[in-house]
Amino acid sequence: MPTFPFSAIVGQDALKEAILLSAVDPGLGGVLAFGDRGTGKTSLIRSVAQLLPPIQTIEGCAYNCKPQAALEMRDGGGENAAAFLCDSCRQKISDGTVEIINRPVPVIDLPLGATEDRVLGALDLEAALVRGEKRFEPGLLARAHRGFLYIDEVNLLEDHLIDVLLDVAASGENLVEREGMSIRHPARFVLVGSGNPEEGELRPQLLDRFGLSVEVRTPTEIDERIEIVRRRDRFDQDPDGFMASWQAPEGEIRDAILAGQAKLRDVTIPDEIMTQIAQLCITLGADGLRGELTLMRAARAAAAFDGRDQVSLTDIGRIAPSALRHRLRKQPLDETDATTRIARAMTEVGIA
Amino acid sequence: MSQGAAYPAASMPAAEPELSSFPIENAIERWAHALEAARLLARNPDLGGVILRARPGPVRDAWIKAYRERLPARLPFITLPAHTDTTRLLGGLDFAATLAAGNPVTTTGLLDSAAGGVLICSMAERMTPARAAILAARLDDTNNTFVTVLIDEGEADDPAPPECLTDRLAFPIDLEGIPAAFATDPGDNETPEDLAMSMPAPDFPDDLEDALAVSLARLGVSSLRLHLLCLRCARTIAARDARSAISEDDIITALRLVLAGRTDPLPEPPPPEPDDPPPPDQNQSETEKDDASHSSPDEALEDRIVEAVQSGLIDLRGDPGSTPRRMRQANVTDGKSGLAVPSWQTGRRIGTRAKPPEGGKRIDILATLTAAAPWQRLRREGTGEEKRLHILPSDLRIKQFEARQKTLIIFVVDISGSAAIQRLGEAKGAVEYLLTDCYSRRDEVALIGFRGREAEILLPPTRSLVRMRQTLAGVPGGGPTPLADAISKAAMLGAREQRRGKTVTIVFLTDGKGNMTLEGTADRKQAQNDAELMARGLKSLEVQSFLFDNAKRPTGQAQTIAGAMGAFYRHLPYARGAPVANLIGKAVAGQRV
Repeated sequence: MPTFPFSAIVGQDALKEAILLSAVDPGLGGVLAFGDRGTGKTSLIRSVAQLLPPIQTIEGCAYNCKPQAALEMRDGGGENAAAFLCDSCRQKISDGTVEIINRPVPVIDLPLGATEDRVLGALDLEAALVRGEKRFEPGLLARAHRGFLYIDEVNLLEDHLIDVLLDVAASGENLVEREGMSIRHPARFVLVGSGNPEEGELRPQLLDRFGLSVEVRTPTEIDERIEIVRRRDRFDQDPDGFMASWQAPEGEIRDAILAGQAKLRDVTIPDEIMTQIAQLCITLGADGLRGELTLMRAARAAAAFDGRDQVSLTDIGRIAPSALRHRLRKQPLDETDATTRIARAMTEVGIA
Repeated sequence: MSQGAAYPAASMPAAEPELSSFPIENAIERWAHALEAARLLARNPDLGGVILRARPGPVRDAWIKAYRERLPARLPFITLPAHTDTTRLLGGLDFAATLAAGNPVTTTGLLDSAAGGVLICSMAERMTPARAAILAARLDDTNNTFVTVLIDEGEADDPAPPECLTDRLAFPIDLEGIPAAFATDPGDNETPEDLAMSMPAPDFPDDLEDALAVSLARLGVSSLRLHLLCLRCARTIAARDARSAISEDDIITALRLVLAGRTDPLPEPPPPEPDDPPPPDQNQSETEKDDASHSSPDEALEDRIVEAVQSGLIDLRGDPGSTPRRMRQANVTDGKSGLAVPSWQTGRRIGTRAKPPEGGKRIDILATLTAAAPWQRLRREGTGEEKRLHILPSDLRIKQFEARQKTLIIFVVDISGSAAIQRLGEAKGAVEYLLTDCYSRRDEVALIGFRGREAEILLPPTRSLVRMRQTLAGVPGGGPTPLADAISKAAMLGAREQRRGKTVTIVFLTDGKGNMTLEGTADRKQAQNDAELMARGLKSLEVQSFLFDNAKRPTGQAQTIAGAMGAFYRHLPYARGAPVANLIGKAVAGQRV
């Protein structure tokens, strides 16, 4: 059964934009969605994954290996040291049974009680006990490669696990060294975390490592609520028919993402805007340099998505809140919320 | 309510002298409501399930039987015990069986077995957030989902079942206190197969769509999932009566069924005058503002619906004297600082033990294989099997970890008298510092305030700055000083959280001059005695306590109380947030102060 289509989702504009930008540039560093329950965060991510073209990989591969390297090896081109191929794919190449298939973009849910073993991968119990073999069993990170990793209630996850996840998300590689094994495999995914601030906060060191953050609210406008429930109801009654009627807008968004991905390298930022970005971050007292770097990167992705080759001031104005909101040092006893502080600072610096 | 073990089977319950007509009518009503829920759920599994407030007994069994008989015969009907481990839940390698057979033996997870059928979860009020999250995720997976019967066996001060689950289940049912003789099932004329037959879905007229949305807003329901469930329920009712369109009555019945126990059966405040200009601010979630800004031509329709629902809402309380337990968010706990405690599941790895791996203990494969390795040749010769790895139970090794225990700091603040506002401000300041400091970020904080007759838990244990600010905004102060009650309540809260495995610290901000006794009378001498008595009680709990004396000139009263409770005493006339927080933070971390 299909997932509810992305273009038919009502509202949640901030979250939608953050996810789209991450789809254009997965290296942005992930999205943190803080706010109320039941606001359709999981559905939104699944719907983006459904929108994107399927990935090409090798039949039976647990690591979502890219087929190019396999094909080169098979056609006698020797081994490409830079590309990764898992053991089972290598085996298939030598057996001559490589089969290329299409797989939908993976969206992996990280369950709340997940152990390190399940996430990173561990010694294959079955192989060890039954055959006495030392083999690595890939974890959730391998399955999320080239897709999305969604963590619900990220503020309840154990700190050391979040640490590892953020490390992998930043480097794009999972390095596992335990139980006598040393394994390294690619793990490039968009990390999306969600949580309810009423249940506890993330440490600032961890917050800072997420790329963008958005606030997600339950819609209060009656008309919006009616439309949301109405569309969901229509979808439930006839999923295929509903999907068909939204085919065109889905296609437009997909094309924009793909075009954006291609154009990303060519987008430039004018010097004056670079200066203003820096001034903004200084005015806000954001810790570290990640704020500026993320803002620049996200602005580029936004321009690419729109089909432009230059970043404009409006891009900055629109994206600054999500790039900086979670990096501001919290002043105890200061009730001003982060979004307001950013708006004030932007006016001071002349961005908005 | 009848005491004793035996429930009368066929006869009327023995007459109880004080039983008024309300409980009997209410009991009959609740049972009828429960049966109706069973019928609708059997007809349409997309309604999610029920939240069944019922302790074990014949009435609960009767309901489950009534529901099951309306389902097709071979549907999976799985019970999930309260504390199953993840392997049993999600499936995986059955370790013991694999060893025995020499081949991999996997178990199918309970959740997979339940797919397409019904899952019964007992003791849902004790479900951990992790478990609830796994279930909720599975419920959203439309290809593998199941109907959930969440059984809530809690007492009045136990938390309610997790909201992430109750939000996905249509019908709250309360069977508490219903005599067994009332729990009869007249049966339906339709067979389960008839019930499951799908018909073309009834239409939902536009004006009713709007009316449903507005009515829900006026009834204070903001969850979109519940909105969708009400819609589905109304549709199921119309389909059952073979009508082609949903009617106003269907909506009213659906709302009464779905919102029982989730909304207050109190009359709502009157909507604002039509000539008040509605504020343009989008962030208001008050229902009055929505009402004014939404131009509905059918206000009469909505009024009828809301009134009918509120007057027809079933009272979900067995005993009218007890406080109803509303569906509220269960207490969420997790965290990392505090005493290091040996654990079998989480935390930093500190070693290996030779023990059998039951009950969620994690196997240390390497150590196990290392232990078994030297014996392989001998064991192989014994049985003659070549390939298999021979592992005996004595070789098994499990991992041991060191987990950090959670800490809770309870602030007990004197908000009586004229300095109330200032003291509350100081306490708020200290709490804010504790919650924002990133090193002690994992402490939970609670606040008890005392003034007037008795002390009150103003802020239940929380780690969240947002929640603290919301809860403590606008707390009134002034009046007499019930110190004894405050100490007593702090001790009770502390003991309860200690039983849950947390390290508790209690901090008192007071001048020690209690003047209200435990009974609520204004006898100064008695009040002091009561306070000292409670203080000694607190000492026996062995929690770390602090007493910060904020009298301008200490009279020794506070010091006496501190001595009685074994608390660290300091005179701090101006208890600014940061220094207090620092002191406490250091003490909790085990450093000397």
